[in-house]
Amino acid sequence: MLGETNLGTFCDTDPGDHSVVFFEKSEDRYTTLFEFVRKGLEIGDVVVYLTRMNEPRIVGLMGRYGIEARKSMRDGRLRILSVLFSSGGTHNPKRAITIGNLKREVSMLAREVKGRNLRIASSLPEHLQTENKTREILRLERVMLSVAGEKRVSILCAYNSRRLKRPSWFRMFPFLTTIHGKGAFISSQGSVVMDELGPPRTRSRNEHVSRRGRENENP
Amino acid sequence: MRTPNVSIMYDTLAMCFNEAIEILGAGIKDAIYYHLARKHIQKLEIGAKFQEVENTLAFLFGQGAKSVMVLTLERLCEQYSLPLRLEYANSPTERLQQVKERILIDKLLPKHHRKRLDSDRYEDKLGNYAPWSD
Repeated sequence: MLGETNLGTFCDTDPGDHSVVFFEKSEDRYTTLFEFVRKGLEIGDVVVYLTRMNEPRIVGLMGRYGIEARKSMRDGRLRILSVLFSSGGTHNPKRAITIGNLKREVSMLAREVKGRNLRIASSLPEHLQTENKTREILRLERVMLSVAGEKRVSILCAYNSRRLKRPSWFRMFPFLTTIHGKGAFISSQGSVVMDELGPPRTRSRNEHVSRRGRENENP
Repeated sequence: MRTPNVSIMYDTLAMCFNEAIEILGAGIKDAIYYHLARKHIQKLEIGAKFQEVENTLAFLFGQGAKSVMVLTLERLCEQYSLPLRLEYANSPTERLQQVKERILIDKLLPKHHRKRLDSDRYEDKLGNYAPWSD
């Protein structure tokens, strides 16, 4: 349930998982996000990295953490998507990916990767935190939640806990935690992994059907 | 006069809770205290109103609140030199209740309080105050 030893297994997500990591130091952000990416590439998943930084910079950073990003991108197993935030009246090219069309983009990708799982690592929340865009975060998280509802997709979002310093962020905090299924909290004091955030999970409709199906197969 | 055991235990519980949530990160600790203050629970009242603290944690973390409870309990047991033994109860809350009862019945004192008592005794033996105290 908790402890530093669980941090490695935290990145072993199952399809449908929508997880969150709260970190204090930027190294911890890359340690968890890139570990999530690395493990995905290792087991043959298709990985999407959502960021606001430019692609070469992320590729360089991934290289430092032992990920052969260029090779994986050539094989079509890794995609780095730079997402643009709408900031009133600024230039927004037609083909740019925004939070508004992110779901369509990711759903298309999920369809393209037939038979394989899709992993989404997102450092966008931290960029939105930096610009204090609480509403954009709400939009982004709702998009991510609906994407996580699709089959074969697992998501990891990263937040900087040092930026939770204003009452507006404090008020948003319960939403940020309980919208996710799993959470890791990393600070200078240690780390805690919470396997179940939010209310107790109820049995899904599909789960019920599959169980009934199994029973029918083996009467 | 000696401080009653109940208030020492509540102070220790509040201290252990503070240490436990510190692990989550400074920003998250502030968010937790903000939500506790909204429910009219001040830092000094955490020990006495621990049931309400638990409810607030459940509101913030859902099922994950258990982790904070276990961390708090772990620190409390360490302070009173008691075994954590989560298997003795059905939930961390129930175990906390058992530990609290044990502390009060056996009149146990936490480590941080014992250290304070030891330094007080040293001052008494000398007949006057130790040079580092006022």
